[in-house]
Amino acid sequence: MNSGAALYKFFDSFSPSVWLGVSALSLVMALASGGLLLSRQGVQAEDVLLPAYDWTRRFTRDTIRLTFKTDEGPQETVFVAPRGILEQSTPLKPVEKFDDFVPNVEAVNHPPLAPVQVLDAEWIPVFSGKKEDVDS
Amino acid sequence: MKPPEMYLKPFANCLCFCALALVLWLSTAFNPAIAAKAKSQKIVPEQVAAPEPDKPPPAAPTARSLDTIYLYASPITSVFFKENGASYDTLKQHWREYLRPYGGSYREVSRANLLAGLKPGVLVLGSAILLDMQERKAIAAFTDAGGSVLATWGTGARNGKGQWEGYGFIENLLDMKVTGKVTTDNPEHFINTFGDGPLSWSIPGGSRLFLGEVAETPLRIDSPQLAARYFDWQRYPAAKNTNGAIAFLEKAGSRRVYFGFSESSWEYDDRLELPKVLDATIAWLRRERRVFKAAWPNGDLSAQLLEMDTEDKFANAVNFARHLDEAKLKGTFYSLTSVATKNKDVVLKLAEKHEIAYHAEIHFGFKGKSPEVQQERLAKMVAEMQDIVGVRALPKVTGFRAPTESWDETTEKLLRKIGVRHHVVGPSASEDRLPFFSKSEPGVGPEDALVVLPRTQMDDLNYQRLKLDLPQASVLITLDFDYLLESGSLGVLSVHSQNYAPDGLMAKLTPPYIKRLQEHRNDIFVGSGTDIERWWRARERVALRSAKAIANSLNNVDSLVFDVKAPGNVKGITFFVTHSVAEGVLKGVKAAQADLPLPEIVRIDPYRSAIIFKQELKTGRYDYSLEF
Repeated sequence: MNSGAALYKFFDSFSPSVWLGVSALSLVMALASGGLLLSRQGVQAEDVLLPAYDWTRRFTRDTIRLTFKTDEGPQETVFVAPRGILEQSTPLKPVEKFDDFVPNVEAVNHPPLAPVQVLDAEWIPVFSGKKEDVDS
Repeated sequence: MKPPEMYLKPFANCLCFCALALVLWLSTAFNPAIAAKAKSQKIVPEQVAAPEPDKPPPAAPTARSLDTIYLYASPITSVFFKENGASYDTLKQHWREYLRPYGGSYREVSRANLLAGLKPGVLVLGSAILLDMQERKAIAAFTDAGGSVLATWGTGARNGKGQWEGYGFIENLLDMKVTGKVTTDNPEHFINTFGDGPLSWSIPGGSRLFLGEVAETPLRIDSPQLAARYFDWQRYPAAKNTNGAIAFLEKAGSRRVYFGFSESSWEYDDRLELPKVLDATIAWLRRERRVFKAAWPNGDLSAQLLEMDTEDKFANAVNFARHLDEAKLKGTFYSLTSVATKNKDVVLKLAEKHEIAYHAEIHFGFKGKSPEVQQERLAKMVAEMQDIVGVRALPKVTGFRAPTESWDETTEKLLRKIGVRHHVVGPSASEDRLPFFSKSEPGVGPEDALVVLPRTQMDDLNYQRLKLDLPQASVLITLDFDYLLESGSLGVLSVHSQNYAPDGLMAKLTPPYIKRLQEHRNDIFVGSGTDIERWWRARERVALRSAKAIANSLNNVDSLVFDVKAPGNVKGITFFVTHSVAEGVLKGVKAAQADLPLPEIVRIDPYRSAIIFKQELKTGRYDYSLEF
C-alpha cells in the first residue's frame, strides 16, 4: 500500500468538521503554550504583538508598493529614521527615559581557533609535536 | 455539485499541520531548559545609572593600541527612533554585519562603557543622532586620549532629549561645515571617490557609487580634506562647497572620518564597493600603514589625454595643435578618414608632433550593426588611413574612437584584429574614471587586450547642449579639472574640429585649461592615447604581493615586495604608502639585495608618501624594507 493512500485513509477517518475542530483546538493550545512560555521568559504581550503587527503592516505595504510599483509621491518613501529627524522644525516625541544597551560580548569575541599566521605564506611554524609547541 | 465538506477537508488538514508545526516550533524555541542555557552564556547586564569601568575583552594576539573597534549602540538614539516610529537597529545592523569579520577586535559598547572611558581604538558613531552632554564629553575624552572616531550622517544633531542641536558636533569634530542636504529631488545620488587617497585607495579613482534615493537625506559638507564628493550620474561638476561627501582629519593626535550619508544608502551598493572604502578607512583610523600601487607613473596624481575628434572643418585641427605645441604637449587626433583623405596635408603636419588615430570612415555609430557591416566599414577606414599616412606609418595608428561613442562588443573584437590597441569611449562605459582592459574578449590577456580610455569629463558638445556662455563653461571646465586631479582620474578633454574655429568656444576654453595642466606638470601625467595605453599595460605587469604593508610596526619597519611580470620593461611604477601619523615621513627604502634598484621617496601630503621607481624594471621579484 502506498503512503499516499494511507495518509488519505487517515484523514478520511474523521469528518471534515472533526478535523476542523482538532485544528482549531491545536491552534488555541499552540498559542496558549507559546504565550505561557513567553510569559515565563518575562516577555510582555505587547512586546510580541506590537512588533508583529508593525512588521506585518510594513511588509504588506512595501510588498504592494514594490510589486505593483505604485507611485503615490513622498509618502511612498521608506523611512528608516524618523521622518524629518534632521529638520529643526519637525515635531518629534522627546526621549523621557531609556535603558542602556546590553552588549553581548561573547557574540563578537571569538578567540582564534587557528594560529593567526596560518595564512601567511612566509610563516615557518616551529612544530616538533611537543605540547609546548602547541600551546605557544 | 460537491458538498461543502469536500472543500473544508483539505483546508482543515492543512490547518492541522500548521498547528502541529507551530506547537513543535514553540516548544523548541521557548523550551525553558534551552533558554536557561542560552541565558547562562550572556554577560550580566550593566546598569545605566552606575557606570562600571570598561572591561575590554581579552586582547587578540595581534591587537595593537588602536586595534579595537567600538560600535556605539546609542541607547538614546534607539529609544528616540522607536518613540517616533522608526528603528535605529536597522541602521546599526549594517555596521554589525560589516564589523563582524573583525572578530575579537570589534565590540559593541553601551553608554555605560562609553562614559566609563574606552581605551583608545576606533569609535564608530553610526548615525548616532542623539548625544547628550555626558556622551559628548566622553567622546571628547576619547579623542583627547588619541582615539579615532568615525561618524556618519547627522551624528549629534540632537541632544539627549531629542531637541535640535544643529551640526556643531560633527563640524567641530572634523573642522568642516555642513552646507545642505541631498534631497530626493536632487540628482546627486552618487559619490565619486578619490583614487589613491588614504581612505579610498582600495577602489579605482573616481568610482561612482549609487547611494539610492533614500529618505535619510545625505548631508553636504565643505571640508579641506575630502575623500569623496556627491555627483549626479553624468558627473556634472557642481560647486565645490556643495558636494563634499566624505571628510577626514587628524587633529590633536586623533584621527576622525565623517561619512555624510546614512547607512540606509549601503543597501544600494550592489557592487559592494563601500566595504572596500570602509576597510581602507578603518585601517587609516587604526593608523595602520598601507602600501598600494599607484594608478599613474612617477608619482603623478592623475592623467590627462587631450584629443580632437577631427571631422567636419578638419582644418581647424591646426588651431588645436598650435595650442598644444605652445605648451609642448602631445595630443591625439581621432580622424574621420573620409574627411581626412581630403585634408592629407593637414594630417601629415599634425603627425609630426602628435598622434593620429581612427575615428571611423564616416560619422555613424557602430552599435548593433552586423559583424560583416562593421568589418567592411573598418576595412575601408584602414585603407583610407593607409592612403593618407602610408604603409610604413600605418602600424603606428593604434587608437580608435567611435563616432557618437557608439560601439559594441563586435566593434572591439574587430578593432583588435586590425591592430588597434586603445579605444576612447563615452562616460557610460565605466563606473570609474580610470582606463581598463576591454571586457569584450574576456580570454585575452592584458598584453593583447584593448585598453579602454573612458571620457568621463564634459566635452564641447555637452557645453553646447547646456547652452553655456564662455564664463559659465569656464567655471565648469575648471571644476572638472580640479575634480579629476583630486580623484586621481584619467581626464579626457575631447573637442571637435567643427567647434575649434579661432573664435569658437573651445578655442577660448582650451588654452586656460592647458595652462593649468602646465602648472601641474609635476603631478599630472599628460600623454597621447598611446602613451596612456602603454603605461596602463606596463602597470598591469607589476603585482604587489600584499596590499598590507603590515606588519612589524613595533620596529617601525614595513616591507614592500612586488613582482614584475614578463615582458618587464616597466618605468615609473609608483607605490603610495600611508603614514601612521600626519606629517609622518618615510625615512628610507632598503633593498633586500644589493643589485636591486633604489627608488625615490617623495612626500605627497601629510598622509602619504610616494615610492617611485624611475628606472626601467625588468622581470623579477623586488624586495624592500621601509623605514619610518
